[in-house]
Amino acid sequence: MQISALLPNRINAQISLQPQSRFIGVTGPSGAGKSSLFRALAGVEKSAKVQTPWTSQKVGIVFQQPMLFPHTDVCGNLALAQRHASPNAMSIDACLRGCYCEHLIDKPVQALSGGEAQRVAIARALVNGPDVLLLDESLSAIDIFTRRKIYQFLNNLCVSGKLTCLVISHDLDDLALFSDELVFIDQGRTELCGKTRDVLTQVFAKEGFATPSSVLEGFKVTAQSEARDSNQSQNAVVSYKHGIQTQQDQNVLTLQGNDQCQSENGIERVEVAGHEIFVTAESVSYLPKQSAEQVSVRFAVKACDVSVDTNTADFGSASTISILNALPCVISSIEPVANSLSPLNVEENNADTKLADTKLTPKKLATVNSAKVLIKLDVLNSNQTLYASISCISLSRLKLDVGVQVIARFKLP
Amino acid sequence: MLTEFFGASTLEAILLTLKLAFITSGLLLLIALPLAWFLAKWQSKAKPLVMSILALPLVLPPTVLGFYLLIAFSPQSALGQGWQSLIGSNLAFSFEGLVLGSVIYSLPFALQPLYSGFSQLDNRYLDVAKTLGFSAFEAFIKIVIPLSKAPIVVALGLSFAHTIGEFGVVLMIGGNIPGETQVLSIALYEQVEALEYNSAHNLALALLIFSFVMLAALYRFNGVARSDEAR
Repeated sequence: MQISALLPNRINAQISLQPQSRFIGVTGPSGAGKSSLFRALAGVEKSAKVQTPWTSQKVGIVFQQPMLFPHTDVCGNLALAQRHASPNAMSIDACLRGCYCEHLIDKPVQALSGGEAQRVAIARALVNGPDVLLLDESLSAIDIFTRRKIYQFLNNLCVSGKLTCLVISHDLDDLALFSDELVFIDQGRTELCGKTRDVLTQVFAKEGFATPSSVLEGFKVTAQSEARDSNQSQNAVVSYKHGIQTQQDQNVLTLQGNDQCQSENGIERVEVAGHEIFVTAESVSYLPKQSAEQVSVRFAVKACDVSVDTNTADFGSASTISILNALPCVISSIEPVANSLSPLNVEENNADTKLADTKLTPKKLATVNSAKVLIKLDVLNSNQTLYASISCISLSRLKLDVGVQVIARFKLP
Repeated sequence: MLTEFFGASTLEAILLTLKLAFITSGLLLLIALPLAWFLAKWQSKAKPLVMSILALPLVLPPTVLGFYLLIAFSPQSALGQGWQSLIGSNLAFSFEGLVLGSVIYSLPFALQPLYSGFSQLDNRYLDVAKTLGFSAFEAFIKIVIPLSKAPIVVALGLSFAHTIGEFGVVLMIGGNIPGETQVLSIALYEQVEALEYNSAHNLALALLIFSFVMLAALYRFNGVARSDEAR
């Protein structure tokens, strides 16, 4: 899928996306041209030259300012959107439910808060039945819980093939969780474009994030898949080969009355690289179905929620701590994190320091003015990556170095 | 009661003035709405020139405008001739001529508030309307006009009030024919000329009260509309 947009002196963006991508995140610094790009794609910039695969499709846009028509109420706004709705457009009720604003139907526009108005604006756009929906920071004023639910609703529409969503946001966690692909725009040009995980890695490196999020993908553990696997193991499958030993059965912490917990406590179980991971239901986003048996899902893990354990022999038996999730990993890099009060400063005896030299080992640590380091962890038997933000004291005490095998333990995302 | 208070001929002038004001402000709304919308969206180097021509009646002495209109309405001019061959009567010193003159004279009073309102309207409402499938005309009718309620009411009010108080242009192109072109301001002038001060007092007071009530209502409406927008 090729998209190009040219607005003289403002944007010249070429975006190449996979045809199956339905939820595309767009980010970049303020003033980079993201909104101009969306205006061009929506066809409201007269001077723009745009090429998209949606020439015959309906494109909707929701701005950061909800732009609800103030001369009528919420119901009137939705009725106006319904005048030219596509034949396959969702009903007003379904849109209001999906955007969590059924209770606002009779309210005057002036009585809505910023977040409520944004929810109604998204519902209004959906009532019109667009094939492509452009959301220009359209959820920025909505509280995180409702925002995630609305993103899940939109993502479900995308997964079911009813909608393609392009979403501008500065919240990389939201984009990490829901985007199939991510586009980074700067100075009107496409700087980075590709799989969310890969682009995020580059963005975090480029912008020097102290606590980046990593995206993990896996399969939802369902009752069906459990039954299938029950012949092989009482618990979820773990094929953790660490060069030392193979562990089975004991490797995954199983919650007591797990099925009940899954439904009642809103916890999903996800199989990642052969290991069972517990994730809160609102933190999971669903991917397009690749097989009839498996439901692919994605979730994000913040670097500050990941701890590093060097006791690899006790992979699954760390029952004395509250952290539920564990993944065997290998350290692939260690980067210093700039101190917000005193910026990263390699002392004068390393005057010829280049970026590559900032890779830390405990020996080099003493020379760097940084309280924390960011460790990149490659998940074993998978091409997935986790980040862990730990203190320099822990780095030194645990003698962590590139190539060392560890257990990454992290809280319920 | 009104006949006793104003007198029969004055009452006739009041009714004629109201008729003229209603027709003029109605016509002005029809003309000024699309014209103001076009001007608000039009970007050209010639725009200041066109805006100046349209605003001329604001600063031009009414007698100057009336003089040129009188020449244009005369049977010797193309407009006067065309009107005579089409309708069969003179345009000058007729009610129709008065309407045409009033429309031209009051045009900036209708145009300016509409132009200002349309210029301040956030274009993103139209962008949203476009992506929702509205044509430009439908967006104008369904979105722009309801959103411009305040400037439309102000334009109507100003053009109505201005037509009621018109004197110089009416005197030049309409003369003082009772029942045909004698409007309130001319009737008042005639009463003063005839030293009928009691009647002049009554009429002047009525015009004063009318103007005050009209302006107060416009300011009130504008204030309510603005506070609605701000909420």
